[in-house]
Amino acid sequence: MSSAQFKSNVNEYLEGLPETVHSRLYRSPATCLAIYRLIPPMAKFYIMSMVFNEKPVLLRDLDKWIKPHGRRHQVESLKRIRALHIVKDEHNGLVLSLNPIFRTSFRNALTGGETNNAFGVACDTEDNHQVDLPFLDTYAANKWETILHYMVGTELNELPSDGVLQLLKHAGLMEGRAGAMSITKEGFQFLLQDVNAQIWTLLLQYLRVAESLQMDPVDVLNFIFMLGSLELGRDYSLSALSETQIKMLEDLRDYGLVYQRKSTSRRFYPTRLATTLTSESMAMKTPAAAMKEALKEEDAEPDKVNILSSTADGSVIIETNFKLYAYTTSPLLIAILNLFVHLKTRFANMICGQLTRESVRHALYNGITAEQIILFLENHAHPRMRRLGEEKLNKRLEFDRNNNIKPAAGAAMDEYRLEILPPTVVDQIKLWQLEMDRIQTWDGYCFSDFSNVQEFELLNAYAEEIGVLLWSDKNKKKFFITKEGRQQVVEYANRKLRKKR
Amino acid sequence: MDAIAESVFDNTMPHAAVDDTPSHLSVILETSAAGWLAIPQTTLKQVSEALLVALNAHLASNTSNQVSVLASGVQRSEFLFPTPEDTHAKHHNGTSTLVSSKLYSLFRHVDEEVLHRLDAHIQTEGNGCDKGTLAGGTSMALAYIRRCQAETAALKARILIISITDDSAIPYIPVMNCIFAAQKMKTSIDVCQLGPASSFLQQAADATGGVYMDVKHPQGLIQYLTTAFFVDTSLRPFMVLPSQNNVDFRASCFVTGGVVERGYVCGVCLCILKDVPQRNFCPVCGSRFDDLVISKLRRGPVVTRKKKRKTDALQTPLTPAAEQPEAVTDD
Amino acid sequence: MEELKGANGGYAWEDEYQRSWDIVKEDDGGSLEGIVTSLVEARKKRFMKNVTPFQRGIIRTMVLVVDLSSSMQEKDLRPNRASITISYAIDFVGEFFDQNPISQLGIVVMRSGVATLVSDVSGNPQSHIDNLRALRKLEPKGDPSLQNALEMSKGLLLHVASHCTREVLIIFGSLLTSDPGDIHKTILSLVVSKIRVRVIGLTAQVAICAEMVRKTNFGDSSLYGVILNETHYKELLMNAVTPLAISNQSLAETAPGFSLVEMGFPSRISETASPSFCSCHSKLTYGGYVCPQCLSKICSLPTVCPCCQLMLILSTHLARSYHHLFPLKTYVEVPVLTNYDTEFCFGCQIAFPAGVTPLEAQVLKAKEEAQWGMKKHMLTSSRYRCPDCQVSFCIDCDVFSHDVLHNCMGCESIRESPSKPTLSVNAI
Repeated sequence: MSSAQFKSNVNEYLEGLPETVHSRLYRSPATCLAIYRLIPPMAKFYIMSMVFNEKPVLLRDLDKWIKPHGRRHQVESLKRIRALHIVKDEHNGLVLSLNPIFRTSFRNALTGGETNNAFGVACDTEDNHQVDLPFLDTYAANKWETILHYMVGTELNELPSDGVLQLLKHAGLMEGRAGAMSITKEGFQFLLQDVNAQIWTLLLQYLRVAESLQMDPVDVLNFIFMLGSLELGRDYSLSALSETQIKMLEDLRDYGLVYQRKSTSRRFYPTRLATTLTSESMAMKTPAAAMKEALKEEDAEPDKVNILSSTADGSVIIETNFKLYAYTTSPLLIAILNLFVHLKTRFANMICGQLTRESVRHALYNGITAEQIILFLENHAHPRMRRLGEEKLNKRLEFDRNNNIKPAAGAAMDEYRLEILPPTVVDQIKLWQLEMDRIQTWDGYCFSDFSNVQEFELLNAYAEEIGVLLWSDKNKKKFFITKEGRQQVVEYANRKLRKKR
Repeated sequence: MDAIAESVFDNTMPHAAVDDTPSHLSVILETSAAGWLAIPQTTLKQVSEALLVALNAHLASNTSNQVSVLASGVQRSEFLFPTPEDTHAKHHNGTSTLVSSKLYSLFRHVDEEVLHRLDAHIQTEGNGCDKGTLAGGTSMALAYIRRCQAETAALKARILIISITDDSAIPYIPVMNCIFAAQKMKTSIDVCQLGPASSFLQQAADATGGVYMDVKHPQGLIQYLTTAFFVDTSLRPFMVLPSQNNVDFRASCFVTGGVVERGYVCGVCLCILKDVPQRNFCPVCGSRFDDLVISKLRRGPVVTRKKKRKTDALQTPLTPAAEQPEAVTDD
Repeated sequence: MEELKGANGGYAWEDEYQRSWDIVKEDDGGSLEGIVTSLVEARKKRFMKNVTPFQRGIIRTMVLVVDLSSSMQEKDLRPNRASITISYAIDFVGEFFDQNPISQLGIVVMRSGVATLVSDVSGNPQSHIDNLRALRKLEPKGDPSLQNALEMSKGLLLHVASHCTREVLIIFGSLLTSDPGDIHKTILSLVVSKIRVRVIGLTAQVAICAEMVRKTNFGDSSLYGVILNETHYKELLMNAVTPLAISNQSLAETAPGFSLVEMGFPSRISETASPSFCSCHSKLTYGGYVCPQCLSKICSLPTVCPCCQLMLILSTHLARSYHHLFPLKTYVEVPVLTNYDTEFCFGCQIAFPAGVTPLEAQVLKAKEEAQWGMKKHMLTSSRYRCPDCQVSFCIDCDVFSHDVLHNCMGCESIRESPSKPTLSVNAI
C-alpha cells in the first residue's frame, strides 16, 4: 500500500517533466531500469516487446493482444508510458514507436553494453577502515531517527544538520525559525508514512530545491536512481560522479542514505535506505519462514530495534475494545503512537494504551486523517493479527461456498477483503472523523425567482441530468448548483427560454 | 442518516487487479550435443546469450523477482542457478571474461554463475541412452518452486522449457506426472521448441495454460523470448496468448506405434492397443484376457434377415417387392 | 496409530471437552521444537504404507452411501457428525475424480428408514459437489436402513459393464439398522453381483457391517474401519480413493482373465466462426471433441458418447492413473552419522544439518528423554534416500515426490551411459 503511495508521488513528478528532460534522463541505463520498474505490469510487457523489435508497432496489433476485460489496464498503461515520453505516436496515432534513446539505454542495461558507469564504479583498492553491514544499518537508522525525533519533539543530543532543517522547512513539514521549529499538519501526516515513502517525499522536495539552486535535476535524478541499484556493503568510488553529484553526497550523508568516513574520502558506502529506494514493498514472509528466522535470531539483542526492521515486522496489537498493545521499545514508535493513542502503561518490552475519542480527536485536530491512522496501524500490525484476519477470511469463504451464499448483487470482489484490524475499530475511527466534519461547504450559485413552475422544473431536471445540482426545493422554487455548472445551465436556459419568447 | 454513507466509508484505495506480486521464472535448457548439432541455424552459445538477456529482462521487471536455471543433458540434469555452493564469482571482478563487468551487479551475478556452470556441465556430458532427462529437470524445477513458495507468500511461478529433441527422447509417464503436478501447483509451462514438433510438450503447454511455439528462425530467439514468452503469470488472464488449437491428443498404440482413434485398453496395465491381440494375452503386462469378452469384441457387425410380412391378398402391390438383403457376416 | 489416539488415549466420543490449546505442549525451555519435529515424523509415517504394485481395478463405479439418521446429530465430531461428513465427502469427491478420472460415482442417503438417491451415477464431479452442498439443509432424522441402501446401490450398479469394478462405500454412524426384509439375502445377492462393500463406522463396530464386508471381499475384513477421531476419519476416507487391489481369490472366482475395454480417443476441434450444438447437453458451444465412431460433438471428457455408447477418454486421463500401477518407492531414512556425503537436498537445494559425533548424539538423546519423556528419539539426519538411485532428499521433497509428483527426481535426472567419451567444447 505504501509502495503505491510513493510510486504515485514519483510518477507524478516524473510525468510532470518536459520531454527534453526525459530524453536526457534516458541516457543513463540505471534510470531507465528504475523507471521501468515503476510502470504498471502491462506497460512493462509492451515496452519489453518493443525493445528488441526495430520496427514501430501498430496500435491495432497492441489491441489484438489484450482480451476485452483487460482493456482498462491497457488504456491506463498506454497513458502512463505516453506521459513519460517512452513511446511516441506517429503517423496520426496509428503507430507507436519506442523512444530510441530509451531503447539503446535499456538494451545496454540488459546486455551489459556501454553503461557509462551508470551503475556505479566499485572501488578497486582495499579500504583501510572497512565498515560492515551492521555498522551501516545502525548508522542509517541513527541518522534517520534523529530527523524523525526532531520532528516529534523529543529531547535530542545532537540535532540534524542545518541543511536538513532547511529542507524540512521548504517541504512544509515544519515551520518556524531554526532553533524553534514546530511541526505542521503535513508533518504529522509525514510521520505516519512508512520509511520508503518518507525518503521519497524528502528526495522529491530536494529535487525541487535543487532546481532553484542551479543544480541539474537530471544529474540529481540519475544519482538517486543509481543509488537504488547499488549493492549493499560495497564501497564505490567518487571517480564516476559529476560535480553536482558529489555535492549531493554531503546532503545525502545527513539523511543517512550514504556513509562517508570523512567529507574528503574518495569512497562511499550506500546504506540500506538507499538500496531499497527503488524496490517495491518487500515480499511478505510466510509464517513458517518467519518462525525459522525468529528461531535463528533468538540470540540477537532485543534492544536494538531498528527502524528498518520495525517496519517489516509489525508489533502492534489492537483489540475490539480499543485497547492497544505495542511490543516495542523504540522511542520513535512510542512517540508516534502518542499522537493518537492515549498511552497508559509502559513495560520493559511493551506499552499499553487505548484509542479514545479524545486521543483520536486530538490527532484529527492536528490534521491527521482517519485513513492515515488506519494505514499506519495496518502497516505496523503484528503478524498474528494478519494471520487471524486471514483465518477469518478463509472461514467466511468456506462458509459461503458451502451454503451457496453469493455476495449481494452488485457487490464487488472487495466483499472478501482481508481485514487485519477489527472492523469495529476501523469504523469508529472513521465516524470520529465524520464528527469533525459536521458542516460541508460548497461554492456555487443559487437560482431563484422563477416566473412559473414549468421553468423551474425544466432547469431543475436539466441540472440534475448534467450532474451539477446540489440542492433544490420545489416549494420555494429554488435550486443550487456548483460553480462549474453555472455556465451550462445559463446557456441552456437562454436557449430554451429564448425559443419560447 | 443517509449522509453518513459518506465517501469516507468507501474503499478509497484504488486496487490494481493486475498486481505486482513477485514472480519466479524457472528455465530448463536442453543440452544434448546431438540435438544441438542437428539445428543448423544456431549454436548453444548464441542461444545461451539470448537466454541470459531474457533472464535479465525478467529480473528487471520487479526487484523481488527470482530466477532458477537448470540444464537437462542426456546423462544428467542439474541446477545451473542458484547453487548452494554459491561461489562468490562476483568478486572476481576483473578476471571473469564471460560477462561484461559493466553489467548491473544483480544481472552480472546471475549471468556469470549460469555461464560458469553451463560450461562445466557441457564438459562433463557424455553419450546418453535413448531417453533424455527432461522429466528429471522439470521435476527438480517444480521441487524448487515449491520450496520458494513455502518461504515467500504469494509467489507466482512459471516454467520455460527450451527444447531441441523430439518425442522419442521424452519418457512419457514421468513427463505426464510432471504435467499433473504443475497443474496442481498452478504453474504454467511454456515451451520454446527449436527442434522438431513435439506433441508431448504441446500437451504440457495446453494442460497448464502455457505457450507453445515452434521457433522457425532461431537467430531471432531474443524476440520470441521477450514477447510471447515474457507474459507474466498475473497478466495471463488478460492476454490473448498464442495457442495451439490443434493439439493432437490422440493416443498412440503401444505395440505398433500408430495413431489410435478407436482402440482397446487393457484393464490391468492400461496400455492402449490398436487391435485385439492375437492370442488373448496383453502384450505389455502379459495378463490373460477373458475369452468371452474377447469373442464379443471380435464379433463384427451383423445384419439380420428381415422376416417376410404377409401382405393382404386384396392389396395389389404397385411396386415390385423389395429384394431381401443378403445376410452379411464378417469373419 | 499410537499417535492418532486422542488426548485420553481413546475414542473421540469418549473425550469430554477438547481444548485446542492443550494439544500443544512446550518444554522447559519454552521452545516448540519438539512438537515441530514430531509433526515432521508423523508426516513421514503416512508414506510407510504398502506400496507394492498390485493389479488394481482402475475403471471403477462406486456408490457412496451416507448415513443421515438421528445418530448423526451427535456432537463428538465438530460441529456435528453430519456436517463434518458432508465436508469430508466433498473433499473425497474431488480426490476421487482426480485420482480416477475414468470412474463414476453415485450418492445415496439413508434417512428415516428409506434410502434416497442424491446424485446419479456420473463422471462429473461438480454435480456431485453441488448435490452434497444441498444435502446440508437436510436434518438427520430417523433410523438408517442398510438393506434399502444396499438394494438401491445394487440397482444402480446393475448396468455397469463387466470391466469396471463395482464398489459401495458406506459411512455408518448408528448402531442399528431397520430393514424390511432379510439382510443376509441381500448380502448374498451382492456377492453374486460381484459388488464390494467397504464401511466406515463412526460409533463402534457393528457385527452386521463386519459380516457384510467380510463376505463381499472374500474374507478380508480390513476394509471395515471404525474411526478414532477426525484425522483418522479423513485418513480412512482417503484410503477409499486408491483403487482396490484385485486379490487372487477374486481372480479365481470371477472369470479366468481380465477385460479388454474398447475406448475411443477423440480429437479436438475448434470452431471460431460459428458455434454448433453439442450432443450431450444440446447447447451451442464453440469447439469440443468429435467421437471417432459416430462423429457427434461432445463438450467434455471423459464421458460415454450419448449416441453410440462408446467410452471416450484422452490419453492424459489414463496417464493420471499410471502412478497407481507404478508407484514410487518409499524413501529410506539415512541413519544418523558423524559425516555425511551430501550437504544439500538434490531436489530443492536446501542445506541439510551437519553430522553429529556419537558423543553429541548421546548427549542430545539424553536431553530429549529428560525433557519430553519420549521413548522414540527425534534425532534424525533429515536425509531420505531413494533405494534405486541413492540420491538424498529432504523431508519436504520426499513428501512432494510421493504426494504430488510421483516421480523420483534422482532416477529421472541421472542416467548411466554405456560409454563416456567427452565431447570437445568446440563442437557445440
